[in-house]
Amino acid sequence: MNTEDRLLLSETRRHFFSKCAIGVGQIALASLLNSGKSSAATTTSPNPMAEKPTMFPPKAKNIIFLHMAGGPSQLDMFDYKPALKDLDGKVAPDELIKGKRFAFMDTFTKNPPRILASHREFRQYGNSGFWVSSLLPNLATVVDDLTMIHGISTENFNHAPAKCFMNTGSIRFGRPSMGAWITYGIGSHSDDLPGFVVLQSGPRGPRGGAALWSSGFLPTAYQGVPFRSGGDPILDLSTPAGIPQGTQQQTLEAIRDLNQIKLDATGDSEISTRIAAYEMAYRMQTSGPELIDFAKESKETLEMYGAEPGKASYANNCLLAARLVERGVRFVQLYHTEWDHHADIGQPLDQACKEIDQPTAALIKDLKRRGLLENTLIIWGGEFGRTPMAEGRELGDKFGRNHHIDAFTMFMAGAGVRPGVQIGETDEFGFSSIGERLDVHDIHATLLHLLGIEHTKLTYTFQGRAFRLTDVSGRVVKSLLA
Amino acid sequence: MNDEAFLEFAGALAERIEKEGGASDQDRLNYAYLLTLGRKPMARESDRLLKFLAQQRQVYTEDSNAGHNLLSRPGMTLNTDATPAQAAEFAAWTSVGRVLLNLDDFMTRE
Repeated sequence: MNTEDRLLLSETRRHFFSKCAIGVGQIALASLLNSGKSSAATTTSPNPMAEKPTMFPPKAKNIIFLHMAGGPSQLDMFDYKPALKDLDGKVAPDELIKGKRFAFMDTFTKNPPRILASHREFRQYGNSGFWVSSLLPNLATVVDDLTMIHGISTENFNHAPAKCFMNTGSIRFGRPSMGAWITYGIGSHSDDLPGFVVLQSGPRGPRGGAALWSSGFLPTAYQGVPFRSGGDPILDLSTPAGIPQGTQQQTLEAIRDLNQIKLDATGDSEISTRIAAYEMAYRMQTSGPELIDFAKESKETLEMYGAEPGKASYANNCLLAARLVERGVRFVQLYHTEWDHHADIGQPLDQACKEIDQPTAALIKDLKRRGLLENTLIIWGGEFGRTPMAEGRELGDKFGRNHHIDAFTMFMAGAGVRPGVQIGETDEFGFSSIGERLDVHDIHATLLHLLGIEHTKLTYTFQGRAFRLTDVSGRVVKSLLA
Repeated sequence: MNDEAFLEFAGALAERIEKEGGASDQDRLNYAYLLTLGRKPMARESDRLLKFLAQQRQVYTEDSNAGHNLLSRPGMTLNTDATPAQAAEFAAWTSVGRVLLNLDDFMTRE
């Protein structure tokens, strides 16, 4: 849409023309927006989530993004650095930390940071020979299905901006998230469920909150829909007792028709979002209960995930994610807190790993046997990693790690990525990348590519310029691709 | 839309419509619009809602239990003296109220 149309549309938002007593403005606007359609004609708004063609043949049809909120400690889980053992407790070498800033450490005054080696036992697994620590016994059994990526960098060391960056490609809020860009670009193949679903688990929500799955400046039809993992996925899905089913349907039709009248008069796309949302909600009255009916899953499946029907947990969310992609949902994002282990890299990390190890491995195995792994891309990781230096917060002998943005670890599995392969590598301290360099924009470019989207071509004009998820950078990481 | 509270609000709205809205359907509809949206309905809107009202009258008259079930929900004011016809009428206007409270126009003020 060109600038003139945009300015006219923004005037519509103030209903300048529609409130004009003469009414001439409304007719003029209607003809500008509808170009020839008579104002008496009612058009049904098209389904914003309808599947749209990709730019080239995709490898992946769905994405499950497992976001470990807080920054999981890669040095204690996947990135084995035995060289740190000799330096354990010693002051971090100058060349490592000189000139750098960290979230909470005093690098230039008071106590200089000391190296903290991992006290976990690491072993190599599978044909890939990936190093995995004793914290992740189940993921260790599926290493040959994983594409391990070390040394990823990001821009900001605080949670909300870093999460924003991981989700929207910018450290400043206001831009659309991955799921919004993707569904805006290619829709979803589920008519009865939203195209972009968000599931959360852990003691609290991710820093940044709903902005992380926002549609930004894209039409709000593309924002993520948070589901609950225990009970009804969405509250108030069922028709209230006392309302006959016929009435429910007729009520929805009346609401839609009246909203449509307003939509025809103003062309406000927020109204078409609302129309679509109500229609989706009505379809979900049937699809919702079916989705969460774990009774259809075998006992063996539930045990494999560690899922308990009705109980909110990461395990339940993983099973729900599998069922969501089975039903055609395009982008499922899971957030699991809490990984922000500043003070204690011991028991709290044990706990967090225990919560995700079995279900994540189960998800991979389950998708494989459902025949869905070849079309689903799984991505696992946090918004940044953790430092090889210790952060002491006066808890006696307990130490944690600070936020680290120069090199962190993610893994992928499934559609279009090379299993059992490691991309990128860190130096002996686990501090910097010494192998292939990747940043968050590159991850975004690559996942769009796997969905059949050229990242530089999925754009939206706003405030006078074209925006895209990868902003002005990002490269498709060919070495990741099968 | 299915929020229990909204159903109660719709019932309260129906009560006001019947008590204060005048005698004819059009008068009552105009009053309902005035209360919820601060304006009169356009002709197209009136037509659509009067059609809906007729539909609901039929539903609740045919299924006399439905009207009673709706009105005996907690939070709804059930007049125990209400005849089946009165119950059906009240249920029909509650349905109209429910539509109005769910319109984009009602929920979004610009």
